[in-house]
Amino acid sequence: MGKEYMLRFEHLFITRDSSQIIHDCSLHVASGELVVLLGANGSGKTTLARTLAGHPFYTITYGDILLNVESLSTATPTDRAKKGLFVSSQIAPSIEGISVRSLLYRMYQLHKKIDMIDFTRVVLEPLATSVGLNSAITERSFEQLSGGEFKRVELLSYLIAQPLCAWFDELDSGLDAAGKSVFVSLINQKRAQYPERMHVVVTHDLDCAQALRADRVYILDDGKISHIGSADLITHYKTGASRGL
Amino acid sequence: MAYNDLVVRSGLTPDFVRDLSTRKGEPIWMRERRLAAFDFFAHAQLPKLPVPYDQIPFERIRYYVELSLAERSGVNLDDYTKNYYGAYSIQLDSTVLFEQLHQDLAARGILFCSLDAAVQQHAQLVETYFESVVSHTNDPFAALNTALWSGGIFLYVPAGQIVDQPLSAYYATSTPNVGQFERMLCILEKGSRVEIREGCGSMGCIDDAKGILHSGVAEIMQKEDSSLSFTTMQRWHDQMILLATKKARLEKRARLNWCDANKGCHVIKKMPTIELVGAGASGKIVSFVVSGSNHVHDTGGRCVHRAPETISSIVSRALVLNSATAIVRAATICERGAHNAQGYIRCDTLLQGKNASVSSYPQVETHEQTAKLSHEAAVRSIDQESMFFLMSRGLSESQAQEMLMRGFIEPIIQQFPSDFAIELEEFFSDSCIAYAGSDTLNF
Repeated sequence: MGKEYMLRFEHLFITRDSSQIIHDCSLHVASGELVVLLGANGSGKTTLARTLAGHPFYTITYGDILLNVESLSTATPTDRAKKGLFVSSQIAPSIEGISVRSLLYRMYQLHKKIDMIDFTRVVLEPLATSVGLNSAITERSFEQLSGGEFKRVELLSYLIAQPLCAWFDELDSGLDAAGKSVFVSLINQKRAQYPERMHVVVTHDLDCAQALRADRVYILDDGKISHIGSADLITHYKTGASRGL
Repeated sequence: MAYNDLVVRSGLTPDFVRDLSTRKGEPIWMRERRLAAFDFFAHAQLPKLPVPYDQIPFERIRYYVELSLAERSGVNLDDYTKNYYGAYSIQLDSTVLFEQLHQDLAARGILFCSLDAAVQQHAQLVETYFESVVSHTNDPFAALNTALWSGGIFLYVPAGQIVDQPLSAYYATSTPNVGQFERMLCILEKGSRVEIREGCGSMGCIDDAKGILHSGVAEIMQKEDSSLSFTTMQRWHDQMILLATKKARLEKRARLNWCDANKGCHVIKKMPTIELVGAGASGKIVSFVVSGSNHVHDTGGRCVHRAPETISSIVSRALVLNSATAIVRAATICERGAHNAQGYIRCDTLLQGKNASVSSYPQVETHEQTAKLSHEAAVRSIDQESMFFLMSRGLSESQAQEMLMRGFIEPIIQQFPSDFAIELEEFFSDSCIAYAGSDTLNF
């Protein structure tokens, strides 16, 4: 086993526009772990994701986010990405005039200097194929992508970023059945390939959650962690969700 | 009647104009036109400029500067022509220094030379068309140009002639406090086709940071079924005052694609105008401006429909940085009788800078029921969600800003002739990065 890593939320309280969304949320992911986070609409899942990535609209009023013992709370989104964090987005940004490929190229250059032609041929094309995208689609700008295409592009971005810790904020919603199965198998494959890396999957799709072989499951309810458990919790949640577990 | 303040400050007199004409050995009719224009200018009420008149040092301007032989020989022609091909003309200060027209074009009757030379060699054409599109009564600064013009460009394309290679004209300044009064006269006869590329400012070799005023006039006459692509790239230094009057008249089914890119200049006042006087004529104005530091840039376009089935569009993008002030004007006017005319305006502005400001004036006016006119205008600043998205992918704040600004200019670059793309990218995105560099985004 190589170096040990850890992502940790410690008693987080988060507000947006002075209204409190997250109250006392603690969770952790250790090296090699995959954590599943479940929760109803409006329970605060996206707030956690965006706060983790450093979105300027969210304020941590109490508590801390630690990546390996280092606090991320005051780091810029850029620094967080450079420390190895990748947080997927649910909605495509409305960026005109910039191709998806040019952003992916910039992201890849953080790891390795390579010219655009080699990048396209050697890196982008095989990875695009692996997520079921025709690489020609990356010539488009983000605002020209459909919802499902954007989700596949996010998966592709994850592969390009090679993050130490990936947080998938409902990446599977909007993906078709084939896309979901690509999502699950890619994560399983990357976990096997890089046993030190951490994954957090936020989802509504319980079949998908089960297929991921989670080490731990958290349930977020109205801004609080209501349950923590093993993968079995998914099954309980599945049968008990309608009864409030 | 007394002269206006500007004439008093400049020290200009009818004798100066007379001497200029004599020095050029002009025929009497041209001297008379200069003098009539001067008289109009001297008594005209001055139009409002984007900055107060006392900020423009008219008293320091040298209104005519002819370079000496020694100065001419110090100019390296290669610096101007390396990126260009076809025929060309280069004006430095008040006179055209170099011109070249390929033999095969000359053999087909195509005339391309300085307007000074045309007055001597093609007097009849010049006398017929000079001021036929832009009259000195249009605007006091058009009158000033008519009185003082020097150098300039004359283009005549006979009926049916197609010019495959672009014709290029450059204007640069080299003498302190020079005022440059360049004038372009283009006549496209029936069914002819040509592309003109016009560049202003330095091409890397001339220290053009010495010019003070560039006041140009372009008049373009397009006969039936003629086609013109006209691209202007202005990149003057940050002290230049640019006041331009540019107008094209399009007869039946004539087509004009007019692209205008601007950066630099303390002050710009320019509004290319297309008059669609013949049925089925179509014109398009593409305006791209990058304003930074304390620039005041008043740009845009104007299309006037005077005939049925005419089509126009004005597409503008302005990138306004630092403490710059942008004024974006776009006007479509549809006169009575212009049945089924179609006009479209789209103006986008990106503001980036704490003290940057923009005023947008779209104007749509119709006196014809069957006309279809539309306009869209949007002013925005850099979107925080987009910044967050790019930064969360590892781009620094300035890299993310740069990327979004590049993205903003990309759609307008695509409206220019395709081989301008690289040049536009280089000149404009480099400058927007430079201007943005001193400003941090509130993020």
